[in-house]
Amino acid sequence: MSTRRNLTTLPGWLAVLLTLALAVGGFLLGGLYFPISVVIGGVITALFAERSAFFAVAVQPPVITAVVVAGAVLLGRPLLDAATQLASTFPYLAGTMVAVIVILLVRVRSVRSA
Amino acid sequence: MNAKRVASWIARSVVVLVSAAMLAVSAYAYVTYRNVTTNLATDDVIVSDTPSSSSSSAQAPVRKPAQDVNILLVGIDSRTDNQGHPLPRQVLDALQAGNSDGEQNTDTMMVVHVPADSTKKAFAVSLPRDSYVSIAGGFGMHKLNSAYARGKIAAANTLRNQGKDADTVTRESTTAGRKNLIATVTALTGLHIDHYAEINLFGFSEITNAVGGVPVCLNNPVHDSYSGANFPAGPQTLQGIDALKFVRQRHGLAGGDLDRVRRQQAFLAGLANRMFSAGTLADPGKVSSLVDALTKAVVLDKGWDLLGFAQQLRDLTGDHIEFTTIPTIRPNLPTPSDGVAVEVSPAAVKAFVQNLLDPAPPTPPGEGTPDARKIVVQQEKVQKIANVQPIDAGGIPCVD
Repeated sequence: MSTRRNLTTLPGWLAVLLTLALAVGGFLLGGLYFPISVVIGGVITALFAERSAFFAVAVQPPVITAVVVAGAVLLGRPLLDAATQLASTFPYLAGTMVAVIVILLVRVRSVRSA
Repeated sequence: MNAKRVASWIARSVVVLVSAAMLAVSAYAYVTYRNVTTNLATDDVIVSDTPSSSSSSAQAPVRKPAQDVNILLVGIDSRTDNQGHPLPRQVLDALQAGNSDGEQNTDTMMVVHVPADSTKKAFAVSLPRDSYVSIAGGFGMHKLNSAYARGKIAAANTLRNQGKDADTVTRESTTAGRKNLIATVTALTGLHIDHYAEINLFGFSEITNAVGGVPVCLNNPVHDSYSGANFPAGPQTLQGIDALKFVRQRHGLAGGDLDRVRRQQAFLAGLANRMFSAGTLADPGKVSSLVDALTKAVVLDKGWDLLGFAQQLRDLTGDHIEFTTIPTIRPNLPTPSDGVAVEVSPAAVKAFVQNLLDPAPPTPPGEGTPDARKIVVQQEKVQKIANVQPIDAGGIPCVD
């Protein structure tokens, strides 16, 4: 029990940084790596973030996706390319949001019942 | 303490709104893409060497490395929409198109080559409709614009004899017609056709409306009662029915159909210019009306990864697209059964296309090896046959 509690202490700033780093890496690899990296980043941080970081974890996937895509445009990636990336990400993004919110709800309930 | 709490609450609300907005933007982009892929009329007309997974179009596309792509663009004078319903009377009247005579001539045919390497030039080669060529499927020598109809009619007869119902006959014979045209064009140009795009009269005018008009320029004013073309000289922006009149006018032009081909090239150059330079593709409103027009007006081959293609197009700027016409010989070749046609030499056409694909490097002066000289002579010959200046989409070219 105590080991599990130790695992779930990822601070908010680290959760955001981790998701961002994964997303940037996935974007650089291109193709399906980008949406999949967003899914992985979202789910991992939802599982291990500390209680006070729940809000950040819940809202970050779309924002980080947009930040990475917008950053790529600012760094010279064509707009159409970015738009298509964003389009192909949507089903994964929606899935990530559902997964993240379910995980967080379960964790909130388990903390309360504990 | 209380003020701090309110500030924090506001900050959180803003973050939630931003997050939701981003999700909405990606949803919108996704739905737009889905609309394109699921609402577009497609037909399985490309005979590929390697079987492709065409049924996975609704899934998120996996990027393949860009390849050189050859597209056959076909403008058809069908008086029906791409679902086979007849066009409204008022549209036909406005077009001065008359009644459907049941025949479907492909009056505009262009092969567009988009290179994988964006530093190379893209080109569009027009194939004049009256070119007298060997039609695929064993139909012999006829005008190029009959390849589609001949293939279609022959297939329709076969299917009808097999006792198929009317819908099946129409659908499958149309596919056969398209395949026959593709085979004919491949045999003529030596280019493997990777993709097929067909547009009818009405759809064409819809697309020009969607992009908000296409800039063109005329050398002289024209008044033509056949097509209804009535335009002043100089630069102007055309859309809808007027755009159709511009590309359909043949009477009153010195070169007849060959001048009309130049009109079509100039028009497409203007359209490409509009699309790539004027930010049309970055305007969500224009993109969705363009998507709407395209889904109504265009028939594409099955399994065309449009997103991938759009990404390949993005690197193209207007001056990297060049419009030319295949070399022609006599414009008034008498034929046994097809009236007057345009004479073409298949060998010259293939050489011309090869030269476009792989332009012979300009030889530095002084290095006069016999080989190099031969290449130069050949190139000059091709230029002479082509004799007119190619149009590119870097600006708005003026035409007759």
